[in-house]
Amino acid sequence: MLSSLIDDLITFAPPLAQGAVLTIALCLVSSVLAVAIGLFVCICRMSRNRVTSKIASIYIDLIRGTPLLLQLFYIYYALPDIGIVLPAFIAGVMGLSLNFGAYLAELFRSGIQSIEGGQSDAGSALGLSKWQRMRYIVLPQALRNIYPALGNYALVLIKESSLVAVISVLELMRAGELLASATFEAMKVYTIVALFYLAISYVVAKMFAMGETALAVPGMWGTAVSRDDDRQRGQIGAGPA
Amino acid sequence: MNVNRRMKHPGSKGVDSVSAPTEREMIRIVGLSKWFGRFQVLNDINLVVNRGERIVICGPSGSGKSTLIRCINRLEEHERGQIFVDGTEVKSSSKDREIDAIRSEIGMVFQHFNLFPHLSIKENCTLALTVVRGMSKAEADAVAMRYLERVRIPEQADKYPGQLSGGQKQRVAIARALCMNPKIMLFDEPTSALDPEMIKEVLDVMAELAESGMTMIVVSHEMGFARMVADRVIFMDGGEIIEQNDPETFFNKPQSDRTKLFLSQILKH
Ligand SMILES: Nc1ncnc2c1ncn2[C@@H]1O[C@H](COP(=O)(O)OP(=O)(O)OP(=O)(O)O)[C@@H](O)[C@H]1O
Ligand SMILES: [Mg+2]
Repeated sequence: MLSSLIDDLITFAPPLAQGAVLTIALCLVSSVLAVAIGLFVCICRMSRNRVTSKIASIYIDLIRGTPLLLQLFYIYYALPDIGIVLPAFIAGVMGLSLNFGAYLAELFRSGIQSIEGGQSDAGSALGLSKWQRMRYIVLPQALRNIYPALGNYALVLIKESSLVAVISVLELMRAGELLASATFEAMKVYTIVALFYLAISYVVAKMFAMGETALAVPGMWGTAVSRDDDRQRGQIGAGPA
Repeated sequence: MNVNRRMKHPGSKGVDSVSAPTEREMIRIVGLSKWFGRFQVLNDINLVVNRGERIVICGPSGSGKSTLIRCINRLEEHERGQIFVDGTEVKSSSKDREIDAIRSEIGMVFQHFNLFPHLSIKENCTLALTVVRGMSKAEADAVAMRYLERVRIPEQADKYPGQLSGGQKQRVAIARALCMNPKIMLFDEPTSALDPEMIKEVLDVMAELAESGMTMIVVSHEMGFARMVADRVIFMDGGEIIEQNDPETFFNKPQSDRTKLFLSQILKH
């Protein structure tokens, strides 16, 4: 029994491992871009300039109001109609980072707004400039407040990256599909696919837990931001699971 | 407490008609009015504070006390009138950099302490020294420890705000402001969020500061403190300065009915 499981692993794991590597690459690139997009959109959204802020909030509404699957289809199958043809991997990265960027923008905004005005007042009273207040007072606290939610998004990203299988990116999910239909061993193959996802998620969760310990400050409590945000995401939906 | 009384403020109400600030003046406020939307919070405030003068402002909730002192370091912007701090006008055309510079010369202590919870007590004190004044960490640490000793909590330097009692937090807030070596200290109800047993430790530190000759404006309903430390007590109501006088006269012979009513209400408690 055990030896047959090990045999299955030896047979099926190597071809799936390539898919896992692509999944990891996809998630790494997308998460870096999503954070960048999130910060940029958050700054625009909070800008005093009405037009900038409005554009940012329309972007957020569009992304959060439509399924990720549709967004991927749009980028990969619809854009070619207007002459924009993207390789599948690039399209996948774009879809994931544009999608998560919108959620992160709102998460960052909620983090910044969770810091009460008195903190900034105290910074102002000491002569800190606007950017110094952001850099040294608001952002470090905001990051701590949103950190658990940020970890949550990272885990959601890993699993939602499986959606890019439908636009023919050969990541873990798609590799599993192909292998399962070629070998007729759906049970074994998908079990191993699941183990890969679990392993990746476990490592990421551990990394976030370590980060949380590193950021912990005695006597400082997080706020309810993360919980609110999870609820929002649940309601509007990030696309089919 | 051995507090050396400074000279009493000459007149009572208003400012002398001359508008140029003189050498001995630290703050001059002329015809200051401010609105929040359509609601007028401050109505034609005139006030001169001399160097080393200690002023206590009292008045009912919503009378504009906080707003008035927050205008001095431009945490609030005013719509009408002029504010001079040590000869420099604080105005809407001032550049951000100029405002930041003026603010760094004015210490402020808040009702709810507003310590930075993610920074240690020492880091709370050194942040502005390093970031605004460009001091080295070692120099800043030395300054911070000097003032933490002065407010009698050097042993808490490496703790975090969340680990301190209210009285300790407020003393840290005072030390943090003093580190910048301000010309003026503004206090906005520094003891009203404290448990009764912690009020004294904070007022004692403030009284010592007053003895050292610091120019102070204190919004407070601590009448004992006002009697002992203030050169002048100001009563505000409805965004106006209703009455101002030396503490003896203010408490024993209040002029206006509103002051009398207010005093009778707070002294009842
Ligand atoms: N940011 C704001 N926007 C609108 N109204 C405000 C704002 N800040 C204060 N006010 C109003 O202005 C009035 C004066 O407020 P202020 O805080 O200066 O009063 P205060 O004398 O300090 O009162 P308290 O003793 O309660 O602290 C109040 O009626 C208050 O509701
Ligand atoms: Mg107030």
